Amino acid sequence: MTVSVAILDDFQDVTRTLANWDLLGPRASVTVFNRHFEGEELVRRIAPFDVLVLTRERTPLRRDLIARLPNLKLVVTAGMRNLGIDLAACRERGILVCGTESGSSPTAELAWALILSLARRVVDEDRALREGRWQTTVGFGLKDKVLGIVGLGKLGSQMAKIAQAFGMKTIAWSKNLTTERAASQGCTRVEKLELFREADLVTIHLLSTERTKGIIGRPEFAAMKPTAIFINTARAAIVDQDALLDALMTRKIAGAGLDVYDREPLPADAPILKAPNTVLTPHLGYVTRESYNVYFPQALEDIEAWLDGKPTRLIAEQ
Amino acid sequence: MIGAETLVRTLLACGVDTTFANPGTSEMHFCAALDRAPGMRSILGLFEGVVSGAADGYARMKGKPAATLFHCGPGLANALANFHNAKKSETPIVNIVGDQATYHAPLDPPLASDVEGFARPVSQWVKRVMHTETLGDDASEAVQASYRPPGGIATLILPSDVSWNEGGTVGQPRPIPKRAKVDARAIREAAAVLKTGEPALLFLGGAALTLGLNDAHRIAAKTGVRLMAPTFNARIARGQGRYPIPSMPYPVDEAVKLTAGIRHVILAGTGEAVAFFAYPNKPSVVTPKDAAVHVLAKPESDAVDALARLADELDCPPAPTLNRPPPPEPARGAMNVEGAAQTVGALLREDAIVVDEAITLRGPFFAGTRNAAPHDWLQVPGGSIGDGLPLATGAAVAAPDRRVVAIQADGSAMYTIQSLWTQAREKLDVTNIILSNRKYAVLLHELKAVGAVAGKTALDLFEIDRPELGFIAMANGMGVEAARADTLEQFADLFRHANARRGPFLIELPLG
Repeated sequence: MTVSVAILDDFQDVTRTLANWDLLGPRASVTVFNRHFEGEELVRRIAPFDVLVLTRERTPLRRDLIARLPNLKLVVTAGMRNLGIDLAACRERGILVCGTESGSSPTAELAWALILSLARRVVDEDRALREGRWQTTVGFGLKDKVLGIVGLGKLGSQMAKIAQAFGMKTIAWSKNLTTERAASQGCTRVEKLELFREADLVTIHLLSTERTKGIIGRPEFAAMKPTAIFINTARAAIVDQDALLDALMTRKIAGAGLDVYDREPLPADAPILKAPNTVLTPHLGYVTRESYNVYFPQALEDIEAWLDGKPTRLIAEQ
Repeated sequence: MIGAETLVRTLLACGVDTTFANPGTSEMHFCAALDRAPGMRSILGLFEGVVSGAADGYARMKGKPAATLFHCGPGLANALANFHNAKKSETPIVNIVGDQATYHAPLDPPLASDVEGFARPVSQWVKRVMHTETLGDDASEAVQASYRPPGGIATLILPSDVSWNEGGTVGQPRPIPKRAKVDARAIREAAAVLKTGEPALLFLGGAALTLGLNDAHRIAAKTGVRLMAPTFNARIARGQGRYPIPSMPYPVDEAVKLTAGIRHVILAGTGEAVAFFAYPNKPSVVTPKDAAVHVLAKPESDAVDALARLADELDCPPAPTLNRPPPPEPARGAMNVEGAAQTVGALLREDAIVVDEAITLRGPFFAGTRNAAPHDWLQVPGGSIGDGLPLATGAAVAAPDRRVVAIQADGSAMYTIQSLWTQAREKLDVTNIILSNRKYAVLLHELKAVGAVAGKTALDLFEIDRPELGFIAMANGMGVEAARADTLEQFADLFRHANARRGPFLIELPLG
């Protein structure tokens, strides 16, 4: 029997070269989709397949979608955590879900790319230079500035370490963060609004869950300094997107570096594209050669193992 | 059933399902009845002038009255300026004024007052209810009276004991009075005048400015009659797909010049073109003294029907094809009023409602939006300023699927700035544009026009820049997002943003 495998959302068309899919031989036929699908088109495109390979949460697999995929037997996702997959619905249907390792955590590095770009106006100056203008802005340095870290987990702690190397003061908040845990990372634990009031830069590193949905909203943006910068490389749902847009349009805050959006890919007419003082990247947080070199070879291994009847790296419900 | 509940149920039965209110002690039973008789949307205004103006804006867009609720004579008195505007706009409103109990009023408590005396000048019907048993019927009569052509305020005075006593019966809806069709003689007279070919002006008001424009243009195309609207109007249909109509200039000299040579003035749904004020050595009626005046339709008559019949009487072919230029592009560069007006004209959303209390800056905005997307344009025919933000608030309640844009001068904005709070509370889709020139500019014009000479003390009364008004902070303080646009590019970005989002927004334009 030949199983059909679909690799979704390969925007950069790289999965063919990152893993040797020929190893599956006649046991599987592989189709790669380079474009993102939604709604009925998504159902129509992926319904025939036995195996879906997902890159993180680019295409969520909700219960209602799973119900319309009659052939689906195996889901392979990049990383070992994918909040877009309804694991219970998969279990009820007998669909196995396997993951991969994540390699390094390049998201913190991207957050710094956004911070430095905004602080020194790299994108603006690049654009101006190409238009024939020399020195059009005056940026700011990071030394002695305050970085407010919302969520001091693995990524938040990496942010703290790098900030300290820049000579920044680091403060942090999350619901369960203790003073001791913060101190162990060289951070001062503060209350949420205090963080937004004091920080020159705020960066979000929370998981997107029901508990963190919209946890950053109008009161937080209202508390921020008009010179402060907001960075979100975590998930859009954590932040009230309308409030963020208003804060930028009304210049209540000095700018934002964003990698995540409430709709991805971001539609061409999305209002955030018109917001001033923003540096926007297309959800590149985990997108590095190093990450991909872990994701896709391991995705291939997952499929081979499943075909051999020895599924590996199974993701269990939390 | 107690009186208050009877009243609410009667209003609902008569199709009045929205109340703008600023209640007090004598209206407590009415307020409590709102929970017992569900279906009435009740909207709080933090000053009575917000309430009366919002009820005006609501009815202009909805075509049916809202109720207003005020506390005693002084509460009503606070509402009067915008009720004056509503009266001049011929707007139906059911105005409920709570008052002292029948047995308490003769003792002259502090809030006892001549409520009828406050109400009469702005109302076309006033009644004090003395018995709970008649309240239902009286309320039904009030709704009917508000519709009586041309439409106006019906004031129902409600003593608190009538409100809390038992014995009420829900009133039955009464027929809505229709505007009378004009006599055939009036049609024939107007037709005869137009057939002479002598220079004539067809002066249109009221519903003719929304529903009658097509027929007016048929008539103009056939006979060459000039069309014009009064300077300030309750509602004009404008923009792409609509037949354009110029309005009479505010400055008397301009109006006189524009209408020079006119031999006949035909009135359809409005009165003569009377100047806003008298000025030494200038006429009060701006059309030529020797022009003959012909009444095709009085304000209370059916001018729309009269225009259609006149067009048929003259065998007018269908209206000529509209050949409008496309909407303009948003303007760029330093902030200036013409550029801001052009940007509004470029970016106005289809089916928007524009409320114009731009005062001295009205001209550029009226011109700049001529070829905008189709929209309705609401003004303040009564000339009593402080109505723009309330009108916008009420219009947004009436038309939740349309964007309201208030083009608002700064000085008059301050009369009823509390409207922003109601907009935020009700999540109304209003884009408030504050034109900040930091002065009562109109008074500087008028000073010159009346020939008065002002010194420093007088001029100081016309400046509002010390201290500077913080519109952004005021808006934020009432829950409305706000920003200032220093350049036309910023204005375009903010205007787009404001119109695309839900809820109110305020943009301040420094035009000083």
